[in-house]
Amino acid sequence: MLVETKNLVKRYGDVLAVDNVNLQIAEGEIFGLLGPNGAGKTTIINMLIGLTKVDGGEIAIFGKKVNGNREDVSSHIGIVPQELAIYNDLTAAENLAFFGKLYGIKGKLLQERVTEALEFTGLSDKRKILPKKFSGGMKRRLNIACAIVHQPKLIIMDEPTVGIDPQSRNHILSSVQELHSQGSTIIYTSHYMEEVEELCTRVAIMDEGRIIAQGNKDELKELVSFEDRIVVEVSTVNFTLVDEIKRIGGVTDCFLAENILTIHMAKNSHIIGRVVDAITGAGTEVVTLSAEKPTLESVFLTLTGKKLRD
Amino acid sequence: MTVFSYTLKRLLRNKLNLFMILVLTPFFIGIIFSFGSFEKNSITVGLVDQDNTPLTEMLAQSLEETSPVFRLEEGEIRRALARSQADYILVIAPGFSQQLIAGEEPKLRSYSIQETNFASRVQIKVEGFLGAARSLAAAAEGDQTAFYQGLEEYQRGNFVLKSAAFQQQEKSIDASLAGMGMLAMLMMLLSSFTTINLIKDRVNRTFYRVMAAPVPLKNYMLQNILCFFLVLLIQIAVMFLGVHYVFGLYLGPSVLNLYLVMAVFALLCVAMGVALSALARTVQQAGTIASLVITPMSMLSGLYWPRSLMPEILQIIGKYLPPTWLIAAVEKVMLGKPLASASMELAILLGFTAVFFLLGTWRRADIAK
Ligand SMILES: Nc1ncnc2c1ncn2[C@@H]1O[C@H](COP(=O)(O)OP(=O)(O)OP(=O)(O)O)[C@@H](O)[C@H]1O
Ligand SMILES: [Mg+2]
Repeated sequence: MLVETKNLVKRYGDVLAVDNVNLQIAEGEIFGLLGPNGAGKTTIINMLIGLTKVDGGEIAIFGKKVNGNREDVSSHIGIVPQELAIYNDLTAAENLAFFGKLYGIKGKLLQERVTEALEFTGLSDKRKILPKKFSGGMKRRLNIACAIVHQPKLIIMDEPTVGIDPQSRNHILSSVQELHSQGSTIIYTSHYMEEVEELCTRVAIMDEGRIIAQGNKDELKELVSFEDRIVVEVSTVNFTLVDEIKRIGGVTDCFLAENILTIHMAKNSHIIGRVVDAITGAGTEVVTLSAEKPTLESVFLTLTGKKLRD
Repeated sequence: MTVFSYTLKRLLRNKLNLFMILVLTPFFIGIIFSFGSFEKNSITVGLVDQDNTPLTEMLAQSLEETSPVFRLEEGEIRRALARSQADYILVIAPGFSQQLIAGEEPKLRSYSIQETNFASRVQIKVEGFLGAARSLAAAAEGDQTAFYQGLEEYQRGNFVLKSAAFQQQEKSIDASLAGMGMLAMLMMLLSSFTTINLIKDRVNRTFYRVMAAPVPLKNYMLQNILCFFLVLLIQIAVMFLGVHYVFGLYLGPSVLNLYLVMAVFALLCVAMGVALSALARTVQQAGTIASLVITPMSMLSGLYWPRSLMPEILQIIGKYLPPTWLIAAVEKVMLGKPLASASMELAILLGFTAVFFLLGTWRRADIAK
């Protein structure tokens, strides 16, 4: 395991910000930490990089305890903080050179890495510009660039897409995938479930300091999908069809609204073929057919009884 | 030294900062001295009379005709000169009168502020009086009664020497002391660079990012401290050159010693800046605290005027404020004493520095906050 926490606890006065969190993140994963505001995502990250005191439990990164090895461990981590952390009075390239140097990169290699990071984040033509003249999305991209100049093994991104335009957002999402394909392990926090669903190989869902579910996306959805559901648009309405479909083994419910048939069936019952046969046998045609899968949003809703975002 | 060099780069890139360091401070201090009221046009004489005879009494009266005269002890001489309580000090050794009446040539000791020549006015007067006294002593042939009778005649007569009216305006080390006081105050204000930078780093989260890198907190602090210390050292050098060559302010017999004393104070200023940055959450807050502290502290420490002019209770309070000890040390080196003689004052300043550094770094356990 690249990152492992055991019974991690953090208290702020009466608030239990992180409550017995156990994480296992393997090399090569894009690990999503999904949770609403105040769930404890940032607090966990701060403890991972040794910037917040741990009240209980243990953390090991690269097989080493963070406590006591902070400088050693942190030299292979790149952090994209939730809030922008860049110098407004240094140019884009100078920002990158500064942070690169802090990780011990010098001379020609530093120049190369700075250029690479700028290219990677699409800021090559902004090299000599001060970030105060940047748009919000450009600042976010520089914020990411500063975390990857030293080509870390582990990249931790804390809500890197908050409050930006769709174009910059897409750019960031594809660069996360690019970093992943280059071999980095990534921890990605967000309260946008679509992002996590699109990017992550494994996800932990958090609420009020606790991990309420953890696994790959399918495993998580299993948790809430007791049945599959298909929606079929038919060419003509035939009321006996509903009863006929209900008689198929495995179908638990079926109802018709206008010319849309919604059919509930037991999980993995593999009866879609029989349903289609029944429809065509009744003299109507299938116009469209779609299978509905549960989303992480519905997982969260089912597990906590509340929405991720209002 | 990455943090050091980039902090310096960012600081000096700001034109306003550069202007403050290189131009404004020397100019400000220079202007104050060009228009300030540090000129002298009356000479105060201090008299250390260890002989106490009618002769020395008459000498004092004779001096009083043209200058204010006050009496003091031998041990108070340096201080009186430094504070311009006296411009010229005359010491009359025991037995002086006796020797003079006996026809010998006893010597008088005198002190005056360096680089001044207005003491000659008093010297002429003293020599005039003593010359007459010597002639009378010769005439009296050692007879005290005859001698004093003659002397009284002389004083009542029309022999009052008309000394040339010196109107030459002179600056004393009083002006230099005040100049260093002013510089000290400006240095305290400039130490706000330290505070502002540390707070800004924290507010714009770059401190967080630097701490997430393999940089120990003490490295970050040391490099910041070094950077702002260097800026203040440059500041002192610029200011010395400026006030000396442009405005002609006297910097004492050893400029190096004066510089070293000011350098110790510069370190203290940086330490105060660090402490303040830990105390205040925002730059505005820091500004408010600084202005509430620096001005009263400057006044109580005698940066604006000599502490001896203030009520005793304020003088006592002043003893607990660092600039008081700076002024004490500056006074010593200005009078040409070796640096070692100010070691107590410098040690106190360094003690304050250590305390401020501790205050500034102490509550930094949770960096992410
Ligand atoms: N420095 C602090 N002092 C006191 N309480 C804190 C502090 N930092 C965080 N908390 C509390 O800890 C809890 C978790 O906060 P955290 O910032 O980790 O949430 P998050 O999941 O990152 O939320 P967001 O999505 O809004 O960034 C919250 O209840 C928050 O109020
Ligand atoms: Mg957060």
